[in-house]
Amino acid sequence: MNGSNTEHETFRDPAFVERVRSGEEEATQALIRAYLPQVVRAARGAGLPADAAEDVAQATFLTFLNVVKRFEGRSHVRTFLFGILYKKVAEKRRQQARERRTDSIDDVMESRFRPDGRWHTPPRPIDERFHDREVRQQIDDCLEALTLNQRMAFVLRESEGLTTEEICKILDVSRTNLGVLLYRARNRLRECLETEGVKP
Amino acid sequence: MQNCKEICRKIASDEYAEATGWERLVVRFHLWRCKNCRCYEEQLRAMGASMAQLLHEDPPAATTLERIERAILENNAAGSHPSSADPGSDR
Repeated sequence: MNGSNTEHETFRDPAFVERVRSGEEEATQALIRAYLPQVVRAARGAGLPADAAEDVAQATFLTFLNVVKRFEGRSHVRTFLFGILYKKVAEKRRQQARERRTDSIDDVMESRFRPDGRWHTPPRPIDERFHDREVRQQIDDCLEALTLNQRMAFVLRESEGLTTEEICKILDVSRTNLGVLLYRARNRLRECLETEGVKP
Repeated sequence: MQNCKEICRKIASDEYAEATGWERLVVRFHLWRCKNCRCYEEQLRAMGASMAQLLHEDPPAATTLERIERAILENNAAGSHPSSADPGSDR
């Protein structure tokens, strides 16, 4: 999925970070090889077309190498790298940067439950086609309805398997905020798929 | 006893995934008893898995990755950096 765990641990080593900081090409190359596929994938997951995702990935690494001197080693290099990626994608998409306090998906979820909190409109049983490629394409379309930070939270969690702590640092949000982002992302996506008839 | 709405909030926000002990048991017990919430939880899991599959099934070609890697190393050596938003430091 990403750079191997051993690699991931190696990159935590201050001595390694120092090698990158001093511009050693071998160390820089190792870092690029370990994380470039993951960075490109996350950029695509954030909604950029393949070529734009590749450009953003390249720009992310260049900025990283440019500012690595300011990296104090308090978080993992990957966290720092993804933090830059997130800002680059935001820049690229020029989307609303601030998460809204309210979100229409919250009302949709409200309407699904009775006042006592029991289901009013229960979810329909899962469709077997859910695992088909066609359905995955539908997911891709439905993802468009998500804000960038909802989408990044969802992608980093589901596709890249990052920890809560790491995602919070990357998106610069609290644990509670991340919970809200994931809640809205998943419900928005689920509602969209149900509306599109993926799960009859 | 927690209601469906609260259980669904815990599932979708990953509170359940990270819960331990009694807190986790409460949700599991609810899921065992409630068909609708079980269905909801399965859907979220399937959605996550499909999303991961979607992004992993069409990886960039090795030649593309090599091209980007070369571009990064060359541009870095040349000291040309794209202007960008301040990436901040690693707080």
